[in-house]
Amino acid sequence: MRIEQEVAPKGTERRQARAEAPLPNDFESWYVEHQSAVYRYVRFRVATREAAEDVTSIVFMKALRSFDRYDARKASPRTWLLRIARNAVTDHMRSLKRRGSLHVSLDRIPDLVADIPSHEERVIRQERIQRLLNGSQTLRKADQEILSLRYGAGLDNAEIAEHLNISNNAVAVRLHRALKRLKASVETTTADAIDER
Amino acid sequence: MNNMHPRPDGALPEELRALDEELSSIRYEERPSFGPELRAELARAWALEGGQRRASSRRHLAAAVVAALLVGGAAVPSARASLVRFIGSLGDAPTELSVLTSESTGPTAAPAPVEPAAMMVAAPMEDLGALSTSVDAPAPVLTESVVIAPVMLDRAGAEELLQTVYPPELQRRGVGGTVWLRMWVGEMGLPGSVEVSRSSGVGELDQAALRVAPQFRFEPALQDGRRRGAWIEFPVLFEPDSDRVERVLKPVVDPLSLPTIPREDWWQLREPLDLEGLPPVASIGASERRARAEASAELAGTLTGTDVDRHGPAEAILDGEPPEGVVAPTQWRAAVGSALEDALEGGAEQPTALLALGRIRMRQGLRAEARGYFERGLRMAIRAPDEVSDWVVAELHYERGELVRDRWLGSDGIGRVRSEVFASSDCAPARSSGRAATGYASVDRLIAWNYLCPDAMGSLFMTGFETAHSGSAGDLTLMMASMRAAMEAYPGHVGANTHFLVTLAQEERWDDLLSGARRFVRTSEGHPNGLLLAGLALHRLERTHEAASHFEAALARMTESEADEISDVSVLLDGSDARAYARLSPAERRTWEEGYWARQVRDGAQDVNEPWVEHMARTAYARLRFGDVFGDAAEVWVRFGRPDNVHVVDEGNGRLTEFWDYGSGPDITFVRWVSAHRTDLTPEGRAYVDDLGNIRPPQ
Repeated sequence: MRIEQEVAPKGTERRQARAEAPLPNDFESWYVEHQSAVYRYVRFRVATREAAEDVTSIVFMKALRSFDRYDARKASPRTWLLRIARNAVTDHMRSLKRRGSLHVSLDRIPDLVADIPSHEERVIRQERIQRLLNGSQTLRKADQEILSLRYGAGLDNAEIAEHLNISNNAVAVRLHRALKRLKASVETTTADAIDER
Repeated sequence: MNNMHPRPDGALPEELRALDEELSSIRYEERPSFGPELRAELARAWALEGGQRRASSRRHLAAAVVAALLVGGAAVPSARASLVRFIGSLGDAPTELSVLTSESTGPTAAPAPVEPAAMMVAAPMEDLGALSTSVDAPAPVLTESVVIAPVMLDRAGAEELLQTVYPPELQRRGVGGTVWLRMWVGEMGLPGSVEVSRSSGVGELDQAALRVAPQFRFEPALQDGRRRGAWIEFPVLFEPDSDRVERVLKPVVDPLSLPTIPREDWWQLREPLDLEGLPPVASIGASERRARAEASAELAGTLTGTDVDRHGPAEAILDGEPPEGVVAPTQWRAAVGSALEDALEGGAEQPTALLALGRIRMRQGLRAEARGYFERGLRMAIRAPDEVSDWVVAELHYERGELVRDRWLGSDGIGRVRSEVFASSDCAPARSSGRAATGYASVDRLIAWNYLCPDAMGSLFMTGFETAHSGSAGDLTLMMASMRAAMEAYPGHVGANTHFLVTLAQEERWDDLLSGARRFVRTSEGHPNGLLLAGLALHRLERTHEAASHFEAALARMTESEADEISDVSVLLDGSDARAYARLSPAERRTWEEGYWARQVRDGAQDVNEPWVEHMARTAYARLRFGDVFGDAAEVWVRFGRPDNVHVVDEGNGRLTEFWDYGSGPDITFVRWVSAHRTDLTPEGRAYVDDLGNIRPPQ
């Protein structure tokens, strides 16, 4: 057991050292406050947990590097971070397009939380969510963006309005249109799937 | 993490409310350690940049180039839990710079960076100075111009490639470092020369970075809008991840409750084995069979509803071997391969499916493609270690190692003999044996001299044999690292342990072989291969009694046919003995062999039959090294033992000729095709070996 005794403290030291390493004060609080929202926003857009983690890492790394250029008069920290996230997701999608599919498959969303005891219901629900996520990938970018802000980052209309620099009313209209197009897209996919069977 | 959403604040029409509710109910669970890991990464990056931001404007200019290189093409760099990454220091930087560029159009033997301050970037000022003065090359012709530095494409893919070559042993020991590479990026964005410009201080890390660097791809540099070749320099960070360190260690320590093993020798066990207390024979390979069954079930689950389903049981598909009753294995592999590819395209990407497809491609001769699938599987395993079984990880490492092993065997020790050395010697009967126009002796000439003038040929081999500088050493290292990684993931893995330990035997590292073989026996429920290898080591260490007991234990744990095969003495017999032996039934042969070995002992008082032990040591090695005991190479090995020397001559057509040197007299000659497992006697070699029919193993 000597190996474990030697290694475990070493790893612990490293973790502690990392935890104690400082970040700029404001950035630290932004991270605590918005890391989850950024992650959720990204996760809603990308196919796998791993990709979401990678893209979220990019977002905060870029934010940290540009931290001294942040202008509070132009945007709130969350808006600023989510804009960086939007660009990072776009880069990620471009890279995926070069390499292959953007498709979300069930085995790639093991982190999906579904509190449904019945296995059968759970499978049906997962399939439905899979269709929704894949359907959202077919929408125009602006639609994807507003859906991700709404259902990924969990922003309300006023927050989305601030983020997109548009009125509350415009958000409601865009959201409505995006949902309508998503519905149509999912219904088409479902009909195709039934035809294939 | 649950992401609960507020109710919509703009009223939605009825037909969209259900959809809104559905979307609002989508919740993901965030990996708990992700937040702290990323925070730590950020803190480290901040600490690193804190120093850099204090540097002069010249440095900022310099860093801009690396930013272009590192950020411009970055699709998915992973601060998350990457073991290997490129260090980027600044973001959002301009990509256009006014720098001095070389007029040269390609890499030179001694690379001359176009402008050290600009291209040797992201390093402290003092280091830049050191680098710039370290370039010991003639000054290139320089002109002032505007260039856009090369941009790395698919950085995530490059990082993943690097991860696959990060030696597991170094990760386990927590060894990391930064390797600075200097590389020529040609006009088409393809790497040319690459070298380590600043070592990490760990040779294996430097080699690992060098090995994969030629696979990186770039947008080429632009000079005044035209594509140009350029030298770039960038750092690669190998960083052991603490979670990975613990995970790699875990299987070695936990399931076995081994006694204290020094970390550097984790794979060894120095305590003698209790041969009486070995697990029952029925348990040999039981846990591996269970692991295989679980993996097959997982594969079956993944492939349910796909076209793969109709090609047979998942076990067969996982092995890449057609099930019983399939009359056209080639067609079966082609069909299953295509169906697996479709399934993977359709989202069934699981390590078991990648393992199966890799095996099929390997058997179809598509080695590079097969290796790609194994490495894809390994990358998935690295990303989500808890979702892939240790056995599957071990199999992926093992199969990858097998491919590298084949390449290594195809290049190990090869060389040629310069024609000019023949001028200093004479072999009258072989004067017309042909001359190669290449400046090197043809194989025909070498074989003729070998059998007609063996003494002269022996001298020529001594003085004129030039070993080729192929990737042999690198392949050996990579093969051993793969086998070791497989053993770390699944300590009782039979194939990985066997290849790893046989290579130690080949290197005559008998102490290491003994302790490694003991550990293998312990971790594999007493697999006979481990006992054979321990016996071989003990015999070479002149511990004959112990060797004998290990061989006996091995035989007792084999199937009857395996034991008969390894005990077979037909290659030692000639004349009437050989004919009589050939006519016997297996049971009769066993009795005959007992009598035969009893007759080999001159002094009847010996309590251990040394000739038998020697025979077993040779047979054990031959079986594990060459795959069987009846092939030509195994036959020669069993009859004559280990050659004093082996020269392998390659004429460049994939056909290797081996010369096994047993001292005086001609060498025994074999032919082997690169990447083929068989090593066959040449016709001359066969005739010579048959002539030596009455030679016996040394007493």
